[in-house]
Amino acid sequence: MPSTPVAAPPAHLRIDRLTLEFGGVRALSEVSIDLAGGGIIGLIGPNGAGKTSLLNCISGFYRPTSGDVTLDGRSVLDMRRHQLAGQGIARTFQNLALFGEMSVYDNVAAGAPRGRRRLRGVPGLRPPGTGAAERDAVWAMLERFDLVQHARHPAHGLPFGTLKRVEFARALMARPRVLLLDEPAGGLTHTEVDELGGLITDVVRDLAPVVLLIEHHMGLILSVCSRIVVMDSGRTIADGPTEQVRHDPAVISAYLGGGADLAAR
Amino acid sequence: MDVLVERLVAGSTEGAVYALIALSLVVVFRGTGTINFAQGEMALFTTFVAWSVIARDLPVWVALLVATASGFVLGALVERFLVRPVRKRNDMAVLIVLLGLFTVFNSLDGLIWGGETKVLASLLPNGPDDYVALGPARIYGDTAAVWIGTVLVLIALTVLFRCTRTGLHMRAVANDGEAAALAGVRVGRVLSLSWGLAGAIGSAAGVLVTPLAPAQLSLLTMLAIFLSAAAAALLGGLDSLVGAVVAGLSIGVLEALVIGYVPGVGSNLSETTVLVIIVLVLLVRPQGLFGTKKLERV
Repeated sequence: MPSTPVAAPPAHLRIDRLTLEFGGVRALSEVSIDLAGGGIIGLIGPNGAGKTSLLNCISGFYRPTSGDVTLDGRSVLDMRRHQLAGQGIARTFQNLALFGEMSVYDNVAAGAPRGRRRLRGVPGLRPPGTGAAERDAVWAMLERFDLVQHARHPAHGLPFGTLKRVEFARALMARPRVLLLDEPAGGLTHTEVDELGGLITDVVRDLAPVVLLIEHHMGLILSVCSRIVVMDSGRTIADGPTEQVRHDPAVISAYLGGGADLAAR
Repeated sequence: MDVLVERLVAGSTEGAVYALIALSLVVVFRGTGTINFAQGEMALFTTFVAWSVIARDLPVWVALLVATASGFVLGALVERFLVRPVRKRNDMAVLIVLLGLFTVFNSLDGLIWGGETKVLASLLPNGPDDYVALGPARIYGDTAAVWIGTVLVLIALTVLFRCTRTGLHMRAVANDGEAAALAGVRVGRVLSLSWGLAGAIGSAAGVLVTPLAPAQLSLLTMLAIFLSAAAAALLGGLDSLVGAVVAGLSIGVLEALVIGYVPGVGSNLSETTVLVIIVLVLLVRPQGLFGTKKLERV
């Protein structure tokens, strides 16, 4: 897998008429979202709207009934999960999926991409010093996420907010081109949410991934997202620039039961 | 005093045997969360292969290499083609498959090599005069080979799990396969590797251990050894390398002491006695001596 060159064009993730049925229940119904152009896209909607189901389809956990998800024109639905990681798709989970018995350092290190074999133009040969470079990369990531003091601590037993950062750090180790974040602010304190917003914008500035951000925390959504997609009952009911969507009466009534502006949340 | 030293040496040798097989069980358990009931019989199969190699006038170390390599291949093949497809549907069914393999390999040995007992040469010189005296006890070549083998395997596995990327991936898969896959770990390959590794360790153990086994090389060689090794893995905590070794040695020494000091308990009852002790320990510490306590998060 090529490591992301500095000036790579943003990944083009496209969700095309995606339908997902469990028995007779339609979790997703012809959802189409074109994430051309990248940036941070907020995915909001009431509980049960199908947001996580959508993420699960993209990251290979659910097999959609029909429709397609493509990355730069290639369908990702038939890819194995480790291949998705190789293609640059990374995600975090609402309820975390960490290696509880492993140290924070090892958790983050597990996200590092497999050896970059073509470094220095010698195919198949692992250049000397790669191991050290990789350790440095892990430590740099731990530092960035303020995790250095927890590095040797096993993941279980640490506070939820800390674990959220561990998972985020692990997802970033592979320098993803597509980053799927499922309620990263859930369970965080006020200050932590503010820091998270800063981290997400930093990441986008440095790595320029396409970020699909599921979040109930409207403050976070409004402060970092350039575009918002709203889902309800398995469909997209609005999709557009943040400023436009937040004042959309249909969105306000579906999401809040009418009345208030989204910013009031 | 002389009896004590003699018993301790005999016990720790027997214990090192259990520890070696227990280590291979731990490697599989860490990867797949199953106890490979066929491990002992797979090791016996490759030990017969080693015997055939020696029968062609090749040196024992060549036979050891051949057995270890074929153990690796055998383990990886079993994981890929028997365990993985079944495991997708039902974890419990894997157990049945492994119990089936247990009998298949044993019958296969009988079919290919016949039922009569064979003698497997020892890796190190093992004549009546090839010993190192340790006080009143004599350590012969076959004993030394088992001790050295156990120490080397323990060190190699510890380095693998602690210091290498492959080891990191193995631990990640053991912890949470789905999360590991998402982080880009090739879970299938890691599992095949774990089973291959376990197969290789088991096979090396088979070759080192057989010259010491009461049954020599026969269809019964591994039965008693495997039972005690499985008990050792369980007592050690199933996912702990050090635990497997400590528990293996303890069981071996306990058995030897029971035989030496408890009147009226023959070698058959010594096993029973030890198993009873293990059950009592596990009642107090269900996760084993060194095992990780499973945390459930709601």
